[in-house]
Amino acid sequence: MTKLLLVIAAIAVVLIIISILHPVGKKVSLYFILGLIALIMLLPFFMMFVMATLKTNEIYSFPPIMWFGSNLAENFKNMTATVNFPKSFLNSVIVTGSHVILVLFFCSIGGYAFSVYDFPGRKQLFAILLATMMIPATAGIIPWFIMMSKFGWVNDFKALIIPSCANAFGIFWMRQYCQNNVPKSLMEAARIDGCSEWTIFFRVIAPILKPAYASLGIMQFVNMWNEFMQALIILRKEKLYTLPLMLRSMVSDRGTDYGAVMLASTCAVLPLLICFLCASKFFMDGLTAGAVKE
Amino acid sequence: MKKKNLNRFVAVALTFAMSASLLAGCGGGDDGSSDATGASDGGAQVENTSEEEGQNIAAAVEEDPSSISGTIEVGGWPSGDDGFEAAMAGFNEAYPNIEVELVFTDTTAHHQALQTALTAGTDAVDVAMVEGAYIAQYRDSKALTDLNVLGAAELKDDFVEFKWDQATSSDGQRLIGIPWDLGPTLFYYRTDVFEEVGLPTSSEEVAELMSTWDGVMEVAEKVSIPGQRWFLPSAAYPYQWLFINRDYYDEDLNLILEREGDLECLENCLKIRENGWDMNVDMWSTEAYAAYAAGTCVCVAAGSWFSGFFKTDIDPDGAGHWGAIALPAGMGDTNWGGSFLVIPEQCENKEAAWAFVKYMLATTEGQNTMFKAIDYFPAYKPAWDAAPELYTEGDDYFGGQAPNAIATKIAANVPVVNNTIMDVTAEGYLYSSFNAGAEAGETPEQIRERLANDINAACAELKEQQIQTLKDAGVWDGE
Amino acid sequence: MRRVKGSKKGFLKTLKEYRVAYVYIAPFYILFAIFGLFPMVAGLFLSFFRWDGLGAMHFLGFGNYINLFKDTLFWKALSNTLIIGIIAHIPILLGGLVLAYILNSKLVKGQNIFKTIYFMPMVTSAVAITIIFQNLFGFNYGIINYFVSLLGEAPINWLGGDGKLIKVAVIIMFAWKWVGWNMVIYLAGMQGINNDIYEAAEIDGASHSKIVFSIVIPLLKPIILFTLIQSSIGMFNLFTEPFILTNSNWGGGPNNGGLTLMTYLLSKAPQGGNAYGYASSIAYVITLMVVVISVVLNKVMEEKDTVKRKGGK
Repeated sequence: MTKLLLVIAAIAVVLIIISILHPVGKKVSLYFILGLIALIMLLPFFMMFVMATLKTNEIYSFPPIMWFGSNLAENFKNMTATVNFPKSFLNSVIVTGSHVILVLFFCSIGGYAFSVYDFPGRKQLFAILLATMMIPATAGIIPWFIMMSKFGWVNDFKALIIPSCANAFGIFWMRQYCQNNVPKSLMEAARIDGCSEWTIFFRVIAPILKPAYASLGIMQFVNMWNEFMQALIILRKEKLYTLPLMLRSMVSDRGTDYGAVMLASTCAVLPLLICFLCASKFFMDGLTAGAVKE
Repeated sequence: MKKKNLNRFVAVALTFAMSASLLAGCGGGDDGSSDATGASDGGAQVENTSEEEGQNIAAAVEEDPSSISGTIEVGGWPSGDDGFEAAMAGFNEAYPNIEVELVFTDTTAHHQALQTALTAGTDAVDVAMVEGAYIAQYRDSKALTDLNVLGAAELKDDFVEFKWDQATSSDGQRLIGIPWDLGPTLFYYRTDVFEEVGLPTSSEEVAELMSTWDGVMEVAEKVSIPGQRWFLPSAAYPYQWLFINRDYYDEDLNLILEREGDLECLENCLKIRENGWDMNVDMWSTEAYAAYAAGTCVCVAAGSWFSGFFKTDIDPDGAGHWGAIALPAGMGDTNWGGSFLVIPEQCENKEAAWAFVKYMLATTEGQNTMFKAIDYFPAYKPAWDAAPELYTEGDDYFGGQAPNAIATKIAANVPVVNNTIMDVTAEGYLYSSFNAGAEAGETPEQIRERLANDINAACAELKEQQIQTLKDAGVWDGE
Repeated sequence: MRRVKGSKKGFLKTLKEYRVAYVYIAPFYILFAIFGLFPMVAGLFLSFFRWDGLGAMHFLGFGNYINLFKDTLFWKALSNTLIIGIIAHIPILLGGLVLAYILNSKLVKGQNIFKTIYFMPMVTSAVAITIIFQNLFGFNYGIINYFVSLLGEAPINWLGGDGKLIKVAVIIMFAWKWVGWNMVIYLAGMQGINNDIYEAAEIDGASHSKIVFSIVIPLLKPIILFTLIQSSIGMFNLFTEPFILTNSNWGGGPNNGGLTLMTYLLSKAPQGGNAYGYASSIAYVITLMVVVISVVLNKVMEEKDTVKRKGGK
């Protein structure tokens, strides 16, 4: 332990000295630190990919194997033998897709309303909305489940999709974005042209909100793609499992094929990563425009 | 002024909505036995099966199997499903018109889903597995069908007594589950490593050698190479074996940690830890599982169902290098877990559900087929005599040894103990409190005291709850 | 603005006048009332009872809250949560700020690559990643201990031992996940700050640390507040990571080292047990703490603001 800390300290000292000595050294140490952090960020992902190609007993061997192995095909075979990956993937797409679409719709009209209309009760209603963000939902899970049973929504994706449309964070996010990016003059011009309020929103406002849609969309996508606790008590049948439930069902007291689990995890995370990498620019734009200023 | 109005309107509307939904949700819709008295029944307001209904169901199952039809859902965790699938052909023959759908997930998720559904009063599976550690929280529950009403009482003598007792309500009237299997505790060891270091390998000789602590420590020292090969996953486990019947509390719910030989046991556990003879990891961790298969963790103890784990999942290629004996160092014949089947009261096809439970658990055919498939040791005694070869003959996986013969001997000797809802929590602390104490360099007495404090702190609320349950059942005389 | 006579009429009239706005925001409040408020209120109701979910409910009044107050494990869980939360906020806040500043100030090239990489931990599955971290921190086969062994040291029992190092592991995971998120948010905020300010400061010869503390942080205050509240909520919800790291131990490992408030809540109900009333009371105490922290943070930020401005004048 002490030696470990010593090594870290020594590296830090060397970097500081280099950067004091010379401006180029400064640059070098800056890149070194940024690169090191990037490595740390990537290491777990890398290990996940590596483990997806290893046998379970190779994963648990010493010294640890840190490069790709040859068991990918076998892991794939085991994975497809124990779980129905395509079905779970499809389920996740259905749940996440409809959730994201609905949330984007409700949150954008809500956030837009809070930002541009000066209606009575606006402040109070918004305060209530913010307050709801702070409450952990866990405590209500039993009453919530009772309600879902009464609605007949057990084993039904509706139970995951519809309640989560009430998304305070999303409204907050959209309001921020609208405040910074929707010029009132634009609305007024549209009104003069005789557009109804609905038309204004869909024709004029919604296109402006694209970056905000992208950023909120990705966040919601990630949340729902990984949703576990509610899915666990609602979706009981294997054919309804979403990816997190499927992953969980692969981990067992009887011994877990971690190679297969890691392959499944990789397959579950990759779409997210690809989505994120593709929409990265859009996403960052949305964040920038949304987060700026009060 | 307007603001005020709006606020008031919102407040009134919300209150209204809330109270309406509360009534609808928590009252189960129909009861007035309300909270005024301070006690009301929870969400699971399901009518209990009457005597007459029970007799009809029993008669149908008994006399006219083909009259029962419909689909039932059976829930549990692996590898129960493999067992059911193995015995399904026989079941379909006996009850040709019942369709069975298996709803299986991991142990924790299954129990949570079951608990939630029972609490809500809807959407439970028709037949559910319940693990031994969880049965205590259901034994007094009215949300499960009283199987005595369905005529289970006459099966009592066919089942191992302590298991039957675990599923019987505190007042002795109701029976909420039929025992499936037991877990006679076996101590598994790698014969190849034993041979390599010059120790005997046959179960008789190993049992003889390890019958004392001196022998145990001799084995521990010989098989271990610190940092490379270890005697046990964790030195905490021998101490846990002392409590493996889960008899933590007596009838008056006093925590009983002191028992014969416990300090000597702890002393030796500490010695194992000090010498680096244990891996110092959880026996259920994948790290440990990999080490069992690789032969770097040489011994482990568990219920006899662990044999099935070895064969299919942990070490499928390990035939011939495992052996088994009863617990060493005179720790006696004990039981580790084992599950039950229950029928939620909300089940709408009790004929089919009862037919299923009865066929699977209370026929020699059902039990032995499943035993063969997944090593769940039957709690149904007639099964033992019906197919003696399953219980006495050598098992190829165990190099011709017969762990089942040892298990059968143990099964007959397990005492009836008092189980409570605190047991699972208490068990969790055996492992972590020992580790914390060992790390702090404590003496055996200090570790025992630490454990008592930890368990008492963690179980305070559960104990209150258990007392309340016993009070409600009318069997609590303490204060 | 508008004058109102009859209150009821006035209310309806307002409703009509702003019906578009009300219609736009209505879905949230309706859905929340049904799916959010009802369970919460029912949870509050439950917190005054002792209930195992199966048998009768017994009214306790404030009994659960009183017991909770006396519950040593609750205090342990609270202190663990605060320790993990507060220490983890150092890398999350400072690290996030510094990274954002470096990437924003164009000191290095390839900002977009770094930005994307740092953000990636947010885009993943908690269960999968925790399994990997469990592996990295493993006692006998872990990669971290492998490097430790290369230095000639005895392996470190991160997830066992006396339980102290579990917190370190959790903090590392927590920071790993959140630092990129904060960085991106701060970066967004910094890009909103006019570049002239930096240039002016640099011409004045201000060092980077001075720019960060006297210009960037004050300007980013609302954004920092936002991320602080968000990560505080994250801190109180911390569960999956410590739970899986301790091999699903509801006590949080040796000495309850990894027992967080959310783990403790779930250990009572609905996951680890069935003490629904007691669990509800824990949930309400957590809620109260989150609200208090949010209010205090708001106040502190505001106050500092006014003090500064006064001082400035």
